[in-house]
Amino acid sequence: MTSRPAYLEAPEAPADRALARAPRVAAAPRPLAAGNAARFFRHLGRDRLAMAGGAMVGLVVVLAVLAPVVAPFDPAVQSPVERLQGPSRLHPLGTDEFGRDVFSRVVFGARISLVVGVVPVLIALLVGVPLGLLAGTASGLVDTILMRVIDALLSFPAILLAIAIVAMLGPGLGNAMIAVGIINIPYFTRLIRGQTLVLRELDFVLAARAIGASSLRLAVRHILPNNLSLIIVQSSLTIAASIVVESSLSFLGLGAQPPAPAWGSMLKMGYEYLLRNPTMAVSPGAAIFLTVLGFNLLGDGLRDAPDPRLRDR
Amino acid sequence: MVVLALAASPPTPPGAMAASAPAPPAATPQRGGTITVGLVNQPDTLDPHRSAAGPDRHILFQIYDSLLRFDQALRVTPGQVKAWKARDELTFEFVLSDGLKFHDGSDLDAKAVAWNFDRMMNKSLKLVPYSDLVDVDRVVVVDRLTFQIKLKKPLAPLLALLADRAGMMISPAAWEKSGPDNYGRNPVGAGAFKFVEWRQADSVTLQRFDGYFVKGEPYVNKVVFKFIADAAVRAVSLQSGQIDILGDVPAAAVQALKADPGLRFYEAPGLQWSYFMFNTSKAPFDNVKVRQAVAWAVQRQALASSVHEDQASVAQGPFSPTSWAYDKKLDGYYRHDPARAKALLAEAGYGPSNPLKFQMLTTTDPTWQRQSEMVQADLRAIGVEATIQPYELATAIENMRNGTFQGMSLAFSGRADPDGNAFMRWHSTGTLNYMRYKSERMDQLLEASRRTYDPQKRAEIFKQVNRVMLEDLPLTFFTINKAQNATSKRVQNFMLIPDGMVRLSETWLGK
Amino acid sequence: MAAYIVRRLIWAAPVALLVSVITFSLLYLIPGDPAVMVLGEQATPDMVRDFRARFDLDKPYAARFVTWAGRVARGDLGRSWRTNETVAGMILAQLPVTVELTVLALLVGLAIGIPTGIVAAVRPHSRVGVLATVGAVFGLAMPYFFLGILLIYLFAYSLRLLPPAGFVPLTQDVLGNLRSMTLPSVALGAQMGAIIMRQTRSSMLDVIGQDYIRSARAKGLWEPVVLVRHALKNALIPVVTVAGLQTGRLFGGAVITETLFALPGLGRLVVNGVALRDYLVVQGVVLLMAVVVLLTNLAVDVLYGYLDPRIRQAA
Repeated sequence: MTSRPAYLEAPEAPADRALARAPRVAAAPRPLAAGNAARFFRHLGRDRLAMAGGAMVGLVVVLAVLAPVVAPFDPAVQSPVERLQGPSRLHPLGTDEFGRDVFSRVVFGARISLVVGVVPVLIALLVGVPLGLLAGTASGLVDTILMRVIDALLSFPAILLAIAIVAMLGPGLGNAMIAVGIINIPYFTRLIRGQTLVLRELDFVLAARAIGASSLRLAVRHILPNNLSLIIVQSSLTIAASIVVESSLSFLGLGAQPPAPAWGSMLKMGYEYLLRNPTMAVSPGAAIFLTVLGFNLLGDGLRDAPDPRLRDR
Repeated sequence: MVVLALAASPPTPPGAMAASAPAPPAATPQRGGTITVGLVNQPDTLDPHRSAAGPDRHILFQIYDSLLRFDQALRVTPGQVKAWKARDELTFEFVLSDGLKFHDGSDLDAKAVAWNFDRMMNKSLKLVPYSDLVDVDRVVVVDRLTFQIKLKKPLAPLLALLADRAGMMISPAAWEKSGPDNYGRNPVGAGAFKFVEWRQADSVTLQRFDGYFVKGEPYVNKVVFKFIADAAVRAVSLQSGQIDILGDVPAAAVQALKADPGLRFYEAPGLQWSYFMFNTSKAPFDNVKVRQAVAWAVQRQALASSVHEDQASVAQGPFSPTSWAYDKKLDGYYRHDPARAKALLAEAGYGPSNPLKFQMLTTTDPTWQRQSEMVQADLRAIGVEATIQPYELATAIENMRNGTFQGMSLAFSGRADPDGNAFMRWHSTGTLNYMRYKSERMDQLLEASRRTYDPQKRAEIFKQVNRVMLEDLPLTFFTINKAQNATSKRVQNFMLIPDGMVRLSETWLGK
Repeated sequence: MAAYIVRRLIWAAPVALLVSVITFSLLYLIPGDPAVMVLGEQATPDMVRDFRARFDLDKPYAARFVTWAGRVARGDLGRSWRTNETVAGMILAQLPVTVELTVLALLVGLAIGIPTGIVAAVRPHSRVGVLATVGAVFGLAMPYFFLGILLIYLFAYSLRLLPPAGFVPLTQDVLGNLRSMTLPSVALGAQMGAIIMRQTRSSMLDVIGQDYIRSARAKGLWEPVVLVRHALKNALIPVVTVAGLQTGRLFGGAVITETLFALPGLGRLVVNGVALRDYLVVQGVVLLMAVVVLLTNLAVDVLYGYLDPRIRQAA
C-alpha cells in the first residue's frame, strides 16, 4: 500500500486529520477472518516495535490496575516537611510541593489516563460507528448530510473544539471526556462509512442482499465484523490522541481537578517548580509520552500486521 | 492639630525600612528607557473606584497618583495635596499643588476633586470606596485649589483613605466621554504615566506624561506591565532581563532571586493577609460551628512554610505584628486540632454518614491554588470533601460580589491603616463584605473606631474587633505575608513601600 | 479543472454553513441561563432582562441564528461580555502573533521533515535514516506542552540562551521577536516535522520506484541530480499539500503553545476567555479558526488538482 494523502482516496472529503497523527486508512478491507488470525498474530509477533508498544501499554494497564499495591504512598496525602525532594530510595521520583510522592501520583495517574483514553473512544464508537454504517448503507441524501456534518466537525482544530466544549459545559474530568469523545466521533464515522462503501460491493454482501437481507442486518452481521480490525487499529491510535487532548485540557486547568493526580495537571504544577525540582514535571510528562508512544506503536503494528510488505514502514 | 498629626503618623512599624539590599548610591538620574514590570494577573479594571483587585493598584498608582501618599514607614505624606489641616473634628481643609493636569489636558482642581467624591459617594454606582466614605457629608470647593471635606461624624482613617483608591482622581471629562462601560479600559488620571494600551491577558503599556506636576519626573519613557501567570517563568524572566521589576515575587523563587548577584531584592514586613472566607448567608457556612471546624482543621504553620516558603507568619487577624493594632494575646487562638474540628462538625450534624461537601473558590494564581489544595487536604483529614474551583481573579471577585460562592480561599493586599483592613470587610454595609456578615456588635465597634483620632483608643477598639472576628468567624485567617520586590540592577531609586505596590515616578534606569 | 474547482466550492458552501451552525450552537451547551452565569445569581431581574435583550436570548433558536449569522457575515462577532470591546477587534489585535507562530512552526516542520524524509527514503539504513525514522515515531507521541517545558528547561533555564516566555512585537525589534519566537515555533513545529518526514519518505519511495526515475538513472545521470531534479520535484507535491492540511493541528497546538510561552495570540484569548466565561470571545476565535482551516483545505485541494495532471486532465 502506498501512502498517498488520504484525501485522494476520498476526493470529496479532504484529508484525514486525526488528533495526534493521521492514521492512514487502508484502501481495501482486510477481513480478520478465522483463517487469517494466526497469520495476523504471527506477523504482529515479528514486529518488534509493535511488541514494544504492546509491552508499554500492558505496563500502563498493570500499573493502573495494581496502583494501590504498586504505589508506596497515598497519592493525596500531604507531608509538608518532605516537600520538593529530589529522587531518593524512599521517593524514587522525588516529592511535589506538598510533599506528596511523585511516583505514587504517576502510578495512580495511569488510572485517570487510561479512563480518559478509553471512555472518549467508547463514546466515539457508540455514536460514530452506527453513523458510519448508516451513511455507508443509506446512501443518498442521508449520506450527504451526514458527511457534510462530519466535514464541518473536522474543520475545527480538535484541541480548540474540546476547549470550547468544556468552556461551555464547565471544567471537570467528566465534561473533558465528553468533549474528547465528541471530537473523536467524525474519525470513526468517516472510517466506517468508507469501509462500508467498499464492502457493500463485495460478493458475499451482494449475495446476502440478493437473498433479501435488510440493510440493518447486513450492516450488523456482515459489514461490522469485517471492519473489526480497522476499528481496533483506529481505537488504539485514538486512545493515544485522547490521552494527549485530555492532558492538554488538564494542563489548562479544564480537566481533572485537584487533588486528582492527572498527568496533565501534575505537569502544570511541575512547570511551576521546574527550577527547583525538575522531576516533578519530567515524570508525568514522560508518562504521557511513553503511554502515547505505546498506543501509537501498537496501533501501527496492528494495522500493518496483515500486510507484511508494510513491515519496514 | 496635634490630634491630627497623630492620626496621620502611626508609630513607625519596626523594620519597615529594612530593605535587604542597600539603597543604591545617589547618582544623577538618567532619562529615558522602558521599565517592564512582571505581574501575575491582569487588572480587573483601571477605574480606581471600581477596582476591587489588590494587584490593580500596581498600575493604578502610576496612572492616577493619589491626593496623599505613604512613605516607606507607612506615614501619610503630601501627594497631589501639598498641605492639609483640620479646621475641627468634622472639617478638613486640603490645598492641591498648582499645575495639576489630567492626561487629557483638563485641570485637576478642587472642582474635579469634588466631582470625584460625588461619584464615589453615589450609592447607586456601587463603587468600592463608597463604604469608606459613608461618614463624609460633602466636599466643598473653597477656591480653585482648596477644598474641604465635611464629615458627618469623625473619620479617623480619612487621611489614609486619601492615600489609597479613594484618593485617586479620575478626569471627569474623560469619564463623561467614555461612559461607565468603557472607562475602565480607557483610564485618564493625573499620574506620572498615561495609559496607552491594554492587550487582553498580555500587557498594559503606559507612557511618560509630560505634564506631570512634579517637575522633571518621571524619568523613564515607558512602563510596560506584563502578565505572566507562571511563577518560574516570571522569576527567570527577571533573571534573564525580559523584565526589570518583579511586582509579585513568587515565594518559590525567593531563594534563587536573593542569591542572584545581578538583582536587587527588597523586602519588608508586609500587609497582605491570606484567608478562607465563608459565605455566611448560605449553607453550610451559615452555621458558625461549621466555620469553626474549618478554622481548627487548618495547619497554618504548614501554609506559611510550604505555600509561602517561610516568607510569611501565622495570622489570627488582619493586622501585621508590626501594626499598633496587633494583639499578641490572640496568638494561637485557632490551632491545628482535628479532633476538635470533627467534634464541631458532629455538633452541626455532619459525620461519616453525612459528610460535609462544598465548593471552594480561588483564583488561577498558583499561590492561592496551592493554599486551597493544602486546605482541601486538611479538610479531607476531618472528613470534609471540598472541591476547588479556580477562576480568573476578575471572575472570582465577581462571584464574591454576587454571593455565588460557598467558601473562598484567597488573600487581601492589606492596608496601612487598620480601618482599611476591617471596616469595608466586616461592617454590615461594607462594600467588600462578601461574607454577608452582620453583627451589631461589630458594626458598633467599627464605627467607634472611626470616631476617635486617638491611636491608643483606636488600637484598643481594633483589638476588640479582632476578637469578635475570631468568635463570629466570617472568615478565618491563615498567614500575613512579607512585602517583596526584586529588580534588575539597572533599576535605580526604586522604593519598596510595605503595601507592596510599586511606584515608579522617581525610578530611573542606569546602565 | 474549472469543473473540479466548482465541485470543491459546492462542497465547501454547506460545510461552511454547518461550521457556523455548530459554532453558534456551542452556546447552547451552557448549563442553565447564560445571563445568570455571567451576571451572577443575585443579578436583579432588570439586569437579567437587559442582558437577555442585548444578546437576543429570548428569541427562538432559528431567529437567533439568522440574526447572528447576518452579523457575522458583516464581520460583527459581538462584544465581549467582560471588556465590552468588539470581539472582532480583540481577535484582530491578537491574530498576527498566532499567524507568525503557525507560519514559523510550519517552516520548522518543513526544515526538519523534508531533508530527513529524503535521507530516510534513499538511505533507510544509514545513521541519519534510522534516527529520522525513530525520531518521527517519538515526535508523534510527544505532546506540545511537554516538549515546550523540556525546551524551556534546557535553553532558557540551564543554558540561558533564549527567553522562557514573553513576546516582543515584530514591529518593535525583529531580532528580539525571532528570539522570543524560537522556542515556541520549535515546540509547535516538531510534531509537524515528524508528519512531514513520514510523508516525504513515503512519497519519495513511491517516486523512486517509477519508470522515469529508472530511465533517468539508466541514462547515467548523477544520482543527486536524479533525486533533486526529478524525484523530489514530484515527491514534494503531496508533502506540501499534507503540510497545508495540517493548519487545524497547528492552530490547536498554538493554543497550548501560546499559553505555555505567554504569547499574546488567539490561543491566549481563548484560554483567557474560558477563564472569564467570556463566551462570545471563545465562540469568535473558534469560528475564525474553523473557517481558516476550511479555506486552507479548499485552497490545498484546488492547488493539488492543479498540480496533479491526473485530476487536471480528468476534469
